[in-house]
Amino acid sequence: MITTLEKVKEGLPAVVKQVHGGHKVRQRLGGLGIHVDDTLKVLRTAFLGGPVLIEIHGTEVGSVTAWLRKSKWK
Amino acid sequence: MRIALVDNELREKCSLQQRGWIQDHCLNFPGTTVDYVTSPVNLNGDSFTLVDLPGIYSVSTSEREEILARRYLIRERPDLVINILDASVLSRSLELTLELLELKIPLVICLNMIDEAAKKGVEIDVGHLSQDLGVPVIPTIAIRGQGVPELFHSALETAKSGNKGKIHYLSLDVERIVSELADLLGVATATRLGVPQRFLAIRLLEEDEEFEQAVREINPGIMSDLQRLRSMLSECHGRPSDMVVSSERHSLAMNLFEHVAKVKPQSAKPFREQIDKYLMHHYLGYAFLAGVLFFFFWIVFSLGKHIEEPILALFEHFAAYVGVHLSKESLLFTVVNGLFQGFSGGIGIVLPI
Repeated sequence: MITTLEKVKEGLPAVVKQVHGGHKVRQRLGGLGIHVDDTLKVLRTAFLGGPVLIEIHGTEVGSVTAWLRKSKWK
Repeated sequence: MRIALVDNELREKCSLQQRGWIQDHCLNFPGTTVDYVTSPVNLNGDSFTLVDLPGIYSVSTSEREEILARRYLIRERPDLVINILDASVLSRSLELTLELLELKIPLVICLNMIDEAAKKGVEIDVGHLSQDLGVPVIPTIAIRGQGVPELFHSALETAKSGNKGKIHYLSLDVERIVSELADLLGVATATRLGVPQRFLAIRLLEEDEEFEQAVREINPGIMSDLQRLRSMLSECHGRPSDMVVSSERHSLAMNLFEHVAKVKPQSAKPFREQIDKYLMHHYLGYAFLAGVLFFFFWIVFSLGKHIEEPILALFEHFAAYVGVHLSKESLLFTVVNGLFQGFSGGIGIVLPI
């Protein structure tokens, strides 16, 4: 099932399938260690639409920015 | 001699500052001045200047502070770069190292927070890593000063020998396109921009705006070839050329990590994670936040009422003393009295009864 990051349940692993955004967004995500086909785990989401905390390659990355929430994950 | 410190997270360099190796360090937080900081160092008679650059995640960037760090590395060409890696997240940190190796500047790796890596169950074969990268790798726990003198001794030796490490090549099909573009660019264009040909070719395939603009001005005829090669790469891999190069580098870093490190599964969750489970809970987190705010207000109000009165009495005593010794019509009295009233008013607000 392909969905957006904010809909992935806490504690579940997910694979990055698609990044919605231009060159700069891809560049920034790459810098944070997030690439297409990488596996990550959603650690925390906030019910009022706050930050999404993910774990990828042993690092925790938190973000409130729209592009990370709207990217597609499997 | 100038030695530049490059890392991709602030906390790694902070520990060097705490140990007094750098006088000050630059911050990447929003609103802070984006600049680099220099500190003179004398180590057993060897003098050099440490240049602390803003933290960077990648050499291909559009962020202001990261561009400043990159410009320093390219235009100022330090004698050596110390790449400070967080050993606990080595796979991610290695991507920047691979980019720095492409720049062909003498390099030393500071493998910091090696104790944190051990706590996370990550065992790193330092010798193997050094062999794979072709540069000295010094494990450190900078916050305790462990390994830091060895790091700078190694840095001075490497700067003298000029060891620039090994280049790690991408997949064959990607590398062919990189080589073709590097040949088209020629030595002259790369030399004029102060970077190696391969480095420039990779930056252009990664759609780096600054380099693209510079190459367009020097050699506008190459832009059609650049577009052709980008499209070729994109069609072969089914994703934009910048993503292809970035994924290739990521894959190289992961392979390197798997070659030099072993990760032992952890039996129990770390204490911080156990606490986070409750403090950052979906709903309970807000209750904890309210609790913490309430606690701080309670501290301010309950302790404040005991502290405020004696402090205000002290200020009144001083104000009376000044009133006796200074003429009430003098400028000095107005200034001093104003200061006392200002301070006591401030305390009255901060420590309310």
